[in-house]
Amino acid sequence: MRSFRVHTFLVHPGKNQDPAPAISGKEVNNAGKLTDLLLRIYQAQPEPRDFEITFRHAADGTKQNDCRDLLLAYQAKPSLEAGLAIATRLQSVTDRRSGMGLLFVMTGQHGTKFRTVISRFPANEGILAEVDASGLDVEFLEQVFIKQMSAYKSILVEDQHPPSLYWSGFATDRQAGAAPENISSYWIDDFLNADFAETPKAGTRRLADALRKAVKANPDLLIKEEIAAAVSLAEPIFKGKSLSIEEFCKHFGLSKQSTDSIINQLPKSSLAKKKFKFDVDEFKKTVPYRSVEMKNGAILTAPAGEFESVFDMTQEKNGNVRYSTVSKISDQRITKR
Amino acid sequence: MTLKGTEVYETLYCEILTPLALALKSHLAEILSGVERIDSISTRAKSPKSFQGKALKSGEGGKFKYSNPLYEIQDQIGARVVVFYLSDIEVIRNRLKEYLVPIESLEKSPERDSEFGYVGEHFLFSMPDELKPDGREDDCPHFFELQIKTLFQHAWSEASHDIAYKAPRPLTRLENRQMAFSAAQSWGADQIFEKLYRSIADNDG
Repeated sequence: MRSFRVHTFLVHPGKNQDPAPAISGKEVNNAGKLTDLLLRIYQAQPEPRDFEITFRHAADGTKQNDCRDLLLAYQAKPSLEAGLAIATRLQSVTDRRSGMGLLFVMTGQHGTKFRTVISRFPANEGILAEVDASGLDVEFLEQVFIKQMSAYKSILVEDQHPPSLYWSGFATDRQAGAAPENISSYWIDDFLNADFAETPKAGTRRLADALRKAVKANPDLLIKEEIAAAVSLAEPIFKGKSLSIEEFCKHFGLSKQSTDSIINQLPKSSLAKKKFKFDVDEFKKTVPYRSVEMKNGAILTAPAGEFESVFDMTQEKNGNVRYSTVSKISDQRITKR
Repeated sequence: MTLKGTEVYETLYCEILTPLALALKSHLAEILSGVERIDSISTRAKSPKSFQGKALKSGEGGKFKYSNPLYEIQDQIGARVVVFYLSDIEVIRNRLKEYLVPIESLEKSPERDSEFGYVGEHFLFSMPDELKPDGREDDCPHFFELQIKTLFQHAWSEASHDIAYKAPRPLTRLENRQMAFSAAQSWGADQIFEKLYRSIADNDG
């Protein structure tokens, strides 16, 4: 069983600075509150607000990524030197806007896998208050880190055989707020040189396919209506945003039956939690039209995202509904059923 | 002779890799639906025999090339898309990259301009999560290899593999020249078909 190793580095901004400021670092090896805190970060499972990333290959297409190489070197031989190489890379992309940060590099065996976690905490200010024999003493502190656990960036990679694997991991940017689309390009592009593990089109297509199949498969008209309405409203709401299928259902307050019906269309239920960036074009391509078939034989069809604005619907007392629309006729068709 | 992982591989081949290769074929067909001039989309799980052969290969110093073949051999699942013309390759490449994440993307061709031989685009893509059975994710390969080739590139590489790669003896100088000659003809055919296709498509348009 390999032991848990941690190194920490104080990283000043160094982007476009020559010479770059010196980086101080040390191994954290004292058992105590700090180690307990770091162990909690290291052992934490990815949360729904974290998202999976994949390191990019080299510019010439070969299977190589500088940041991944540094993680692998540290994982293979955790040392101050290997940690410093990671801190130096971070410094080279850190500008004054990102400011000073305290970096923790941690690695060890986690279950059957080898886990490596890198966390960066921004510098904050604080006030130290102490009561001694002479009374209350307060002191202004300029370099306070980990003031709150809700503000840090990190990357977690774990696998059974790091040298061949370690291509994907979970990235966090708690400073960016809850929305992963706000993740700073400083962290994901410049430092990690990574992309979302799932392309926007792949995730959006899965959602749209599940919605389409759920409407088709479900005989309940209320569920069909609920899902179809969500499809019509989705484009402007989620354009460019990150979401999971579960979050999509939650956003529209879909009933449990509708949500279950959508999730049942997925190849496996765990995909409902998988994050992706919504791609409007892919959504339009996969669910282009919404149709309502009336009992009197009428079929109303409009682009899915415009159905609600193209047709006005009023509920009548006898349970009937009235759809109306005003426009010029552009074409007429006679088709087979 | 066996090596760590080769027995496990046989089980994985039956339980995971064979169904995964089939699922990948459907997945690729879905991604590429609507794209014209695709001759074929094929996938395969590397056979236990082929895996063992590769796992037992010697590397430097007479040691095994792969210390942990289960993780290091990354073409356990292979896929190939064969298209009609050279310009179709770019269409396929772009479409695939919209839906799949590559960790390697290489254009393979002879080192020197005056040489003729193997040509093709090779990728290592992350295996889509939706194809991995729930609870067996760690048993699935993290990646799959995918090649894009024209009909002529494919034909040449298949024949070359059968004749040159599997040859019981080293090829003679003449035989090597004949292999290179056939590669040159295949390259030339691709060039001419592309030119014809462009010319007719442009005139038609």
